[in-house]
Amino acid sequence: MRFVTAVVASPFLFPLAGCGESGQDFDVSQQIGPDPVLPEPNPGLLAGMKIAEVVGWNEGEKPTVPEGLQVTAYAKDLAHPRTVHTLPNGDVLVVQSRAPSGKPMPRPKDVIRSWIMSMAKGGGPKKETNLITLLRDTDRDGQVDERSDLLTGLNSPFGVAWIDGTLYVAATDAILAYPYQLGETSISAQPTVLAPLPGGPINHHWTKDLALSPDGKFLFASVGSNSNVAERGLEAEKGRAAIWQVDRSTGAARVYASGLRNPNGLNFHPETGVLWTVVNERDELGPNLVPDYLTSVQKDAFYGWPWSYYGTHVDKRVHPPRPDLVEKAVKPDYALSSHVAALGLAFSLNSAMPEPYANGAFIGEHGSWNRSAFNGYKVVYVPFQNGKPAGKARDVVTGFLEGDKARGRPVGVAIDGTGALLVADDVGNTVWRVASVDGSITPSPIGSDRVQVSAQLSGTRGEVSAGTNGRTGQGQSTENAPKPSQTDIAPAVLPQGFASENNR
Amino acid sequence: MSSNLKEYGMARTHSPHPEPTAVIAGHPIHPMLVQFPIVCFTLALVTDITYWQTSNLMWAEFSAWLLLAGIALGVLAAVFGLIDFVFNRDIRNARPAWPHAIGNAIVLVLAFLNNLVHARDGWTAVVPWGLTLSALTVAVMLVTAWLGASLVQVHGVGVRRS
Repeated sequence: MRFVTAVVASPFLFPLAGCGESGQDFDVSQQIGPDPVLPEPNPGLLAGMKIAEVVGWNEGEKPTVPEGLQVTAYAKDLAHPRTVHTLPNGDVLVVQSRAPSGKPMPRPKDVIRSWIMSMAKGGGPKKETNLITLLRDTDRDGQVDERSDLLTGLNSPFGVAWIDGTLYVAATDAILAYPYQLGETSISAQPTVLAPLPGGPINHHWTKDLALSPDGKFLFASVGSNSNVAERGLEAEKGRAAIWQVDRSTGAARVYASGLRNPNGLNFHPETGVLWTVVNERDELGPNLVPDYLTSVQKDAFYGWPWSYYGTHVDKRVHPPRPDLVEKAVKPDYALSSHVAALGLAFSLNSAMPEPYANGAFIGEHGSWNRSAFNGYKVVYVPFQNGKPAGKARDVVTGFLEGDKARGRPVGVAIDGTGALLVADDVGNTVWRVASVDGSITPSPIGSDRVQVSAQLSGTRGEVSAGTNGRTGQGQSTENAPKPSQTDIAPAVLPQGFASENNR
Repeated sequence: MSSNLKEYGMARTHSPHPEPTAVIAGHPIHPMLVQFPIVCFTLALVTDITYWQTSNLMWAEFSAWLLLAGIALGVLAAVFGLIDFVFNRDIRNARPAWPHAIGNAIVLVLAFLNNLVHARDGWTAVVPWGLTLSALTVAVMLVTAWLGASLVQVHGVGVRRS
């Protein structure tokens, strides 16, 4: 009987299965750099799935760093830290959050996968998360001296930015503005909504990152796609898979660049003032497709998602096809290899990192699930020259995996107030600090928002004036006038709990 | 299997009305359950064709659920069918019995593969292989359902003597 079925099924099986994971002997380093090798799509019959069970860090265990660097636990016992952000006075904000709940599951696959994923994550009590904790290293010795929870009960926050006495928090459904002066250790004021962002109920890629433009006028917000490859329908993708530009003075928003499946780690390059991001590319095309990437973000550029990947490679899963859009798809700058889940980005220029890491990008790779051999689960460094990647990525922080188990998983990265690298480790509930062994530090703190206006350079803690409140750029020039119409991209409703009069 | 059952089977070798083993109050279970996979797989072909023609993802989602329900209840129906098949030699000896059993095994294998194909995202969950498998499933099922009906209506399986 088995023979009969095998014979009957084989003609159909063959083109379907393509013999599973043929990618075992594929050298992943071929997919690191500006011109990745892209094999043919090989979806197989079962999407390859391998998830590392989380075991956490035992006392005394820590990640591994190369010679010349040392790693210490900067803060422990956090609640799922996702991003780290340094304020101009050197205080560090740790944004801790989890995915919002209640995502509808329209297919059996969604139900089964969420069950498998939750099994792999394990049970146990979970600490209250969705909060922002402030860490202060008063004497700049690389150790946290004070710690306080700045904001709690947020709606799955991710990105933050600070300027002019205002702390901007990108919750999963809006950019919130809190009055906050540097040095304060608590916020009691209610926020206003600067701009709503596409949120639930699906909210598949829910992390909204933030970056402040070098002139301090605009916020840039990343909005990930609502699906792997538009399988929830294009209607669900309005305003998503994009980076938004939001006017800080009016809240007016426009799509700055699109076709970016899940962008995170927004950062302006300190030398060139160009916006960069890391992007998580699509799954289920095989273990070696599609490489995640690091790219500069060009204004009004389209990067292909969902119709194509890595430039003009058409993804047949999206129907009807759009050859007109594929034609326009911009090829990203630098591939990081497939399924590494790059989520964090920080430039090292002007930090206190030693020479081999003095000018480049640190990238936090959360780690793969859609391939049978793990990829990612580390922090890598891509050297830059003249504001562009120049050379192969190197491993910087490793040791998050122990065999098939995960002690931690890196997410966001930032340079702290002393010029050392911070790594948020979400399942490890730790922020790691990676510094030069010679203990060198920067002369003064540099904030993660590398704003080049005098308003924010007033630097040291306590001396900051009530804010110049320089609401420059009130009148929008025609060049900045939003296009397409805002009703096409922006959600029509404010987040829960915000009455419309509350908004400005 | 107890020798009791065997003797019972032997005694009724020439019975024109072979009795199924899996019954509830004299009503055979297998024919009650086979309705579900037959309807689910047939409707999955319809929703596949509709998705192919409209590109509206809702129809592909319907197909995925129909295929899941079809295979779950199909396996259940097969379990009871197999009980009847194994425990009564008269049923086994009826001419359509073997092709009916093998054919339905093929239906379930095709439907299983089809479930996997339909778990893909977007267009390629259906076109071309999902749709092809749905059509093949229904084609084979037409034959096996015909044979199953023959078992009852020609060979009198499960038909009461009185």
